[in-house]
Amino acid sequence: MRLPPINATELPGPTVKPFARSIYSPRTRASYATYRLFYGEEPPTLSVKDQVAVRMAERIVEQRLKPGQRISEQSIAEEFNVSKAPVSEALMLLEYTGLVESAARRSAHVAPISPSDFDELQEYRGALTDVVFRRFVERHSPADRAVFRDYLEHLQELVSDEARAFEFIELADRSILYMAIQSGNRRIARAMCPLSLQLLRYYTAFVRTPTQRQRILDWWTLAIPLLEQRDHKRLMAHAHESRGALVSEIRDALQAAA
Amino acid sequence: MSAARPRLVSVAIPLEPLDRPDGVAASRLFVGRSQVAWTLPEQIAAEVGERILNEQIAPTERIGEEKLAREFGVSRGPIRDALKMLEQAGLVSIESRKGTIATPLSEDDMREIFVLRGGLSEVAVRGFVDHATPANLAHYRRHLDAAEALVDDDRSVLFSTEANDRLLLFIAHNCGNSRVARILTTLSLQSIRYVRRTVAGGQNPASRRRELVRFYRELLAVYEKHGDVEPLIQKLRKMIGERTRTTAEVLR
Repeated sequence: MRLPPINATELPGPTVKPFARSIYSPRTRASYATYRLFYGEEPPTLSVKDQVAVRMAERIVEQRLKPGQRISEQSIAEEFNVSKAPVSEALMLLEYTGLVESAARRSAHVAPISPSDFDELQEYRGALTDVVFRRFVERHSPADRAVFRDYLEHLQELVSDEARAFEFIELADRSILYMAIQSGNRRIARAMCPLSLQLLRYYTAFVRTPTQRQRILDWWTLAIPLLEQRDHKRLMAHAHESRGALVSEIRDALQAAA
Repeated sequence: MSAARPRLVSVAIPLEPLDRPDGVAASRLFVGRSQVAWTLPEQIAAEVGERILNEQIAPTERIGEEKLAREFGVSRGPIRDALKMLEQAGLVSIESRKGTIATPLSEDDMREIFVLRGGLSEVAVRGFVDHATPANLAHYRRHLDAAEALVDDDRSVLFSTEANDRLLLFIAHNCGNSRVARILTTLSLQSIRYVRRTVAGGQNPASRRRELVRFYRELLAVYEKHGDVEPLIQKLRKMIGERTRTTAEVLR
């Protein structure tokens, strides 16, 4: 099959970045959408539709495409210099991931955001995270602990850097994904990935202040020793208690915006 | 459709009424969909899904597109779409070179499903207590009665198991979280093959089914009396733990 030409600046060739390697190192952020979209498939290369999906996902998560905004297949196809078929497949993938909605297959738009959608996502992830914690506390290895120390160190570096706020949020989110993957339940990891993309939209838009980021950092600073000591009970208490504070701030901000 | 196959669809369905294509697979694959018109791939997915659930197509068995196309008298396009639906539901695995097989069963896989299902069921049960309305509670009560009527008869063990499973789905779909509902529906589909193995191994006796029905009764009482749901959550956790162990033994 002959691939349509790719706009070199927008789509830099096939991305060879195994999920495992990129998630283990806290210092990669280039393909945060790639490994959340394709976790478990381990594609050595990305097809054209996959690459389009990655770019669109990044734009949606980073709110360069606004919630509710109409997406025209035609203009994307023109922009990326590809035919309409891969674009529409990419949009189907994003629809499955929950970033895009389409009305009866006709016009696609960016999935809207709302307080109730946020609550639902948060509740869903909370349930998954509870299972993940329970398993990860039992199973983590010295290598996992080293990774977490690395994550923590990097979060500390980033926390007060306004220009890298997105990296901070993404890395904090990735820590949860890492645990999900290492918890040894592929289904949970697979469920977490699209969920993480959806929640990143909220977190990047509404966690804006250094104080809020500091609170996330404080959470991890407390959680990691509990993880290491395999203190499941206190870890859960810690998780439930502080999930509340930040979440209600985001919800307030959402309501104010609505 | 084969006549020998147990027609579980005659169990009252607590979800949307689904007359066509009937069956256990369809009621999960297309939950909430109106049955005005089913596309070709949907009908094929329902039928092939059903065969995988009752192991007419065995785990790891190859599913040939060509053969299905001949059987259903359609081109390969709708077959491929149907298989994609079943892949998303986790009933088949499509590998680019090797073709499509019915997803294998394994103890690890079962444990994954049961753990995830357990965690999400807790959310669903709590949410149901918070969100149930009088209307859907009446619905729930009717189906609970139906499940109870079946519970002691060992000849209708499959019906009874199915009725119990649909009660959980009903709870999931009325818990106020559509994402949790969706994934619990898929997990239900995936767990059915394992549950049926335990049924076939005689490991889902009336006592165990009754325990589940009692759980659903107690849930109703908690709702009506604004009671504490947490003891029931503990009970749920315990039941799922026991069932995981039994299923693991059957698989070994």
